Amino acid sequence: MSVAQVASVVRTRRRSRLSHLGVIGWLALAVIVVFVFVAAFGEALAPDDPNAIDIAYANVGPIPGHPLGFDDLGRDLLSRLLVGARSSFVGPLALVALSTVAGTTLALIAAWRRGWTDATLSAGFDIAFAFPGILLAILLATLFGAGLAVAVIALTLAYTPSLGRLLRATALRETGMEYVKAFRVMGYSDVRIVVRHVLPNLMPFIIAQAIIMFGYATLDLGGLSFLGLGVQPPTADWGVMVAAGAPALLQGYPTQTLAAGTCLVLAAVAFGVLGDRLARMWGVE
Amino acid sequence: MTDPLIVARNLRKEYGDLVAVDDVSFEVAPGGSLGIVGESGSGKTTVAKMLVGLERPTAGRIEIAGTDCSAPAKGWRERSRRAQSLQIVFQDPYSSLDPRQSVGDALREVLVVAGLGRDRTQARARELVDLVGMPERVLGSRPSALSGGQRQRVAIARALATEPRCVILDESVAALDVSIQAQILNLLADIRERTGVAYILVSHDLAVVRHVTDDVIVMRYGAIVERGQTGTVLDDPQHPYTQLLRESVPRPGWVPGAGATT
Repeated sequence: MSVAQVASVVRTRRRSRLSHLGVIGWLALAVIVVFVFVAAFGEALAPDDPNAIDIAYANVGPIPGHPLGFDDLGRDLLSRLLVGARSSFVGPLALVALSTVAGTTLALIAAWRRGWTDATLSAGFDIAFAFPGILLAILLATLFGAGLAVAVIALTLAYTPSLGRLLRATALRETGMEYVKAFRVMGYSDVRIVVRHVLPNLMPFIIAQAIIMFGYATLDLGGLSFLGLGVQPPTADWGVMVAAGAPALLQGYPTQTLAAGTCLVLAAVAFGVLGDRLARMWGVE
Repeated sequence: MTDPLIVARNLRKEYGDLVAVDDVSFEVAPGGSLGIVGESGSGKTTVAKMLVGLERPTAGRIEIAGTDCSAPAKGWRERSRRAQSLQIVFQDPYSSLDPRQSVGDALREVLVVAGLGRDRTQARARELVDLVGMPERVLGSRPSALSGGQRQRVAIARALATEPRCVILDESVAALDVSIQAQILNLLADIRERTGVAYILVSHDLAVVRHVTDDVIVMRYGAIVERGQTGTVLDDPQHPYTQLLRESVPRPGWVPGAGATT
């Protein structure tokens, strides 16, 4: 085959694989790209100062230059949404990164050591899994004070066992494969087998799980901010905005809560859908 | 006679109440070949796993090349030292290779772990694929691009990479087509002639055992019921179980409902 033929084969193969995402998957990916872009450059994109209060404009609807209108303190809503994207993303990102690393490590240890190590870790996963994350967050917030870091740590403790449980089952299947036994007979060290062979084979599963988890993380951290346990006002954050807009909601000004809530739900759904599609594309469940 | 390469003495393995292997002893000479025959559940694979240190014997002693290997290796240094003496090829060619690793990478990794300099691994990897009768271009292939027979050749090349003194073939051709089986068996016989490697062939298939081995032990319910030279045992079995095994091989002319022919 000529170079051009090889290139075309490679290209069609890649195209056919990516087409597994489907229209919905591509849409989800587009939504995520937009959100990430806004999270990165929100401050530059914001037409107005997100924290400038002007009571004269409190709950005023859309006017030229302010397409979404103002919140109950007369702050520009669009600017607050754009700037708020970052804290609504950094939290989930940290949460997903921490719990993925922790969950993967524990699951691999359980699956590799088996025996009582596995039994102990599995029991730990089950107990921690049964304990609601939100409750844990409230407990930690009362002990250490509310804030994004405490909320992230509390939810990491809640997310780690659920990923750990899922991954342990998959890792058990992988470590039972004959190639793992063959490598042991060939004198490979445990670390080499797990890090260079077992882990890479689990990566598609882990990535898909992490992306799905990101959706939940956006919602849960938004929820904690809504309860006043996460990001603290006046920082612009979608969860905070949903909560702050609640009184105005009762007075007939739903824009703030609706706009921030829509962003949260959209982000969560987009990550859920993309994770699901990727999982199917890579043939993992 | 030279010292035996592998000595197993009174091996026993229990899983709870179940006795999987009961008082099994045998020896394999350097360059020799031993068949272990028996039906599923007879304990033959458990014997293989104990030899390579994947299972710990409940009792008994294993000596490989003069070293005590009764218990699984502690730590990778010892594991890696034992790897130079004894290797195994498993039954399932589809799960015995890392699906993400190309054939070349798989072979080179074994060689690097065994302490061969990186500059020499490429040449040795080429030699190995040549030894198992495959073209050099498979070095770049992932296992998913290979057939079952080709994968098994790669697994055999990998097992031979460090030039072990003995290779255990645990039902290594059972999952393959009969025509491919014959190719692999001829290949194994050929490799043995060229390298002087010893084989332990674990199989339920009498024809396969006859093709490759000089000596045979017949196992049933974890114990050895008959042993001797392969030809003698298979042509003139003394134990009723061996006779039964021999009779249960399907052969041309068999008619459904007619029962076993003798």
